[in-house]
Amino acid sequence: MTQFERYKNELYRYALRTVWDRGVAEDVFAAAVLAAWENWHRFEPGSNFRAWMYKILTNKCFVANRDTMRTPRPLDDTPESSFVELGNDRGYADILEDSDRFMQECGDEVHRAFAHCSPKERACLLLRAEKLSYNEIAEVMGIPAPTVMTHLARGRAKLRSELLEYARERGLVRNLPRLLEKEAPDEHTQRMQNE
Amino acid sequence: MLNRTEKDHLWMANLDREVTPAEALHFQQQLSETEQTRMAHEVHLEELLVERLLEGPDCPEALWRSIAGQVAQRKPARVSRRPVFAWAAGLAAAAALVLVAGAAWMALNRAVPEALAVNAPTVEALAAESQTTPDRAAVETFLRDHDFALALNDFDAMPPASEHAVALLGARDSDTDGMVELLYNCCGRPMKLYLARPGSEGAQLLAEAGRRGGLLEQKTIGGYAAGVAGNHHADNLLRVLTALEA
Repeated sequence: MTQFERYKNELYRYALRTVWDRGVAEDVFAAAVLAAWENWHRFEPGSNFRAWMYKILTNKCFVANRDTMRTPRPLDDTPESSFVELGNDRGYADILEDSDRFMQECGDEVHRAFAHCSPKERACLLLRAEKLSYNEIAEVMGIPAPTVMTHLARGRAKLRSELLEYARERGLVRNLPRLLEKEAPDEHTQRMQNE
Repeated sequence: MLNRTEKDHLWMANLDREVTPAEALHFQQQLSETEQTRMAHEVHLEELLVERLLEGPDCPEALWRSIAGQVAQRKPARVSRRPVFAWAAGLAAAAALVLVAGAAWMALNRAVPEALAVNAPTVEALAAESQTTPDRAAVETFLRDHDFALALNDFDAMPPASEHAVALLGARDSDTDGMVELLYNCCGRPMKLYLARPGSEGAQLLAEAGRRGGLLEQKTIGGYAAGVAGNHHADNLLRVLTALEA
């Protein structure tokens, strides 16, 4: 049990962030540890125990989410966000320039924004946050590494877009995208206009 | 010229430092001054976001004690390891011969019974056979109405993610007693998932077809016989079914 003990806190938090409900997270976490224990013979000594545990736990979390969300949700028809294109937004630039202050303003908003990501995006983001490599995440999720990168890019773009939206509502950033925003008139022009 | 996804991948790999120093340097050289500034800011923002995402309580001690207690009552499964004898190689060779002969026999007898054949030439033709709308709720109602205590899972939401594009087309009664058919489109090919009540004619048919190698997949789910037929090997299609608790 030493290995389990070593990772219990991070695995527990991962379950909490993936299934949201504390009661379900505890059940899922317990089921994953017991499943790993019962399948110990399948674990190859010397291989990555942490990734193996995440794989079992991710499966349990996905099944739990499936069971608790049986009603199909309507398809999200908002345009796909691109991480790179976010850079064109003046408001987003404001966030980047003073991200420490912005994050203090955000409070729990990060978790609300995180909820807008798809289950696979959330899992990839959390696993990456726990410093798993792309190949380890690919192994845990059973998907190719480029797909992991796509989930990460989309997840990060969604997370940032949601935070940007929040910042706009709170008046924390400029409201116009960079391409649409007019340069502020200089003092001379301003004076002429006023006259 | 890179497309949007490729650009995103490039930024991800550099943000996550999943590149060699030479690749990172090359990437930096491609960026404008504004983009370089943005990348530096992104690294910092990502650190703050990760910190916030990982915030949360530790595993409660009471929960861990309860799990440890359950673990103590269960022994981990072990693979029995017997000593290797000299005759093991001979035995393996004999087993291989039996397998080859068996495979040849299976190949000769591999015939899908007519009742289990997927005759629809296209997914559109198969969809036209459906007696329900192509959604999970309708098919689950159909199953309930036919006394199958089974639920359908969302194939796409199940890890490991499948490389196959699977879509539910609907469900229909089978001509065989005690059996229903779930209709699927897998990668543009028509597929059928057969379900039969235990002891029914359908269950016998599935068991026989399974023995003759006529099914792509076969197993018992919640006491019901289930099998998959079609001209395309779906990726573990039977995963879509879950037995409902009585």
